[in-house]
Amino acid sequence: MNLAPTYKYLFRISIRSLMLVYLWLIGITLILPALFSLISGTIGDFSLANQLSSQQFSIVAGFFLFFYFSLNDNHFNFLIQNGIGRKTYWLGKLLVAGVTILIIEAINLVYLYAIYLPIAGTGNSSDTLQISYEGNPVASSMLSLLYGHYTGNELLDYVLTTIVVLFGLASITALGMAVGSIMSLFSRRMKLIIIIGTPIFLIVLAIYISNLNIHLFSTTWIYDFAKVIVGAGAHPVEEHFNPFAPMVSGTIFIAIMLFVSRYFNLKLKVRTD
Amino acid sequence: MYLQVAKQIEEAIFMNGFSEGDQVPSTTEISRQFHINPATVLKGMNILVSEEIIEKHRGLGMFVKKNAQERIRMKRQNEFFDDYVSGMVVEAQKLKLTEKQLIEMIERGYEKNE
Amino acid sequence: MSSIEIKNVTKQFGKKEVLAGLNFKLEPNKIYGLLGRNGAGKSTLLSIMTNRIPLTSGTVTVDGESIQNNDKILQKMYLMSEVSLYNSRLRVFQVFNETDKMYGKFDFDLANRLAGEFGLDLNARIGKLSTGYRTIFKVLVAMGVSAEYIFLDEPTLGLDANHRDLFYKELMESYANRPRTFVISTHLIEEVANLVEHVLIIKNGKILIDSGVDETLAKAHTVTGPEADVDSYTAGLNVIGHDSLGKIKANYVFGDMDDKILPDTVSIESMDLQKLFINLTNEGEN
Repeated sequence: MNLAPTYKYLFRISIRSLMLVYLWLIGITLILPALFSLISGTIGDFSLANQLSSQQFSIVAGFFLFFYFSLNDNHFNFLIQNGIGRKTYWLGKLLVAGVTILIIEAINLVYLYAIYLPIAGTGNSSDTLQISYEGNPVASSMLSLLYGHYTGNELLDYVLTTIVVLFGLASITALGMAVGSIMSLFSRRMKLIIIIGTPIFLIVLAIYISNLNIHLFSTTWIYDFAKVIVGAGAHPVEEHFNPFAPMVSGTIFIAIMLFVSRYFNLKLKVRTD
Repeated sequence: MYLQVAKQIEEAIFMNGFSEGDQVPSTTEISRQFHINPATVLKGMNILVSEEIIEKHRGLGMFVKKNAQERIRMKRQNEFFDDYVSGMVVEAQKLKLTEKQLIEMIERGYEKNE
Repeated sequence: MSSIEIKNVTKQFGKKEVLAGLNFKLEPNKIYGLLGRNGAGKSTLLSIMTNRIPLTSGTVTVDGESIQNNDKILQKMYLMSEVSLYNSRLRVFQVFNETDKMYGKFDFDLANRLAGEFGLDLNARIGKLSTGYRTIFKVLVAMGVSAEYIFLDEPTLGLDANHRDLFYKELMESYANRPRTFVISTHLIEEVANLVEHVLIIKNGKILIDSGVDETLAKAHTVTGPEADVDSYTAGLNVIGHDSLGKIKANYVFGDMDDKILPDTVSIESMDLQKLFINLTNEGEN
């Protein structure tokens, strides 16, 4: 198994792509508005603090993880051309995904403490930790609200929430890997049909579900099952969620997704269509 | 193919392209120049070695042996009858030339070349 | 150094059988010619041998180990294929670097020198190269890579006569300097006839010939003369094709001759590889 060069190759591309995404993000959220202000002559009103969002890095990172790790063909083609088999590719990809998640989380924290809070946040407020939850990745303001008070110990709650966030990112990534590996079974044309068809199907499904009586829905086993997964108690609206529940359910989910992704990854072949 | 390689080198030596004691091009050089598999070239070379036309100097390459030209001449004289005379007689018979006419023609050929 | 063994390999695309049970062995440090008409299954076979696509049944092994996802074995092989598996935005020198990182010991001296001789710009993006230069680029990677088995699928596609000449020269030199196995799949049989040591001829997904070039040609004869004489002389022999001009006929025989007395009017000559190939792989015959 030739894991080291495989890992290095995949890691280099992954990081380069991530940086590119961040650059675009900065360009669109900061530089572009600044340019507009400059052109329209309202640069005096331009405020860096107003442009910074606590969420943007997290949301973009989530999308990046899902889509980037669903891609296969280019990487597989390059590796098989260079005598690297599917097993090594999958393992290399898994390691890169893990490291990328950690890097993303680190960037989020650095962004939060070094940029967002000093500029846009409440700065020296005693409630820093409380606010910092809101800056955590992917819808974490909601997550911190839900999971951030479980033990009552601020530091412990903070660490637990961060771990929950990491599990969330890992789940998104694993889902992307599984979906991507299944997609790679199909020809380019089939892929296109699926990519266009899936959102339409989801919209139709959403409309259908929204027409259902939500109270009816809330009494079904699905609702109970969902509560167990996320760690909600009997009265989810009033109680704090148990952060260990999503860790357990996340582990199970990730394991299943990785199993699926590995299974279909071993079926990869060079496509000429 | 290797017979052709041997023949070509032999011809070159006979026509004085390489004199006695000269080094003949290496297998690689011939292989590269004429797009011939080195194994084939080596086979051809080995025929010439067994016919004592060239010899291997360890670590240096192949060299034309002493008296190589003489040896080639002897060999070719031996082959002359099979290679030319028999075929010529068969062709002459096809053309309905008599033996006398054929001899006359050979004599004419000699006169022309004098 | 070990040999590659192909056993009962079949490949179906849907209901179409492309390879119908192939058996052969590739030995170290030989140059093989893989010959077959368009659609005979050459590229499919090479893709299977390098684990790019799955096989339907059979095995490809090296020292008894399957090649399936086996990096140790796969890294002994390099396939230069018609389809490029590199990102087309990469530049030539970057592919050299990447190949060095994956296989190790890339021969930069050779690749860079050849780039100069062929006139290939090392900074060019590979997606922007013309057909001929794309081939040259691929050839250079294949020549520089440190693998022991190099498979070249149509290595002269789009090359002009001068570049083909240069390629064959450099191939021979590189082979002499660093012996390794080459498998050359090509349509230009005449050009590689003296360069390959062993031929594999594929027809309809089956191996028709698997033997040394000399041995193969030793069995190939052209019998020429008046039609009736030729036909009676070659009766009972394995006649694989014929040509005729007026009443003079040439029968192409592949296999042993018998000890019938040769009539004066009939002559036997050898056959070149191209002629043999054409006659063996003509549709409807044999």
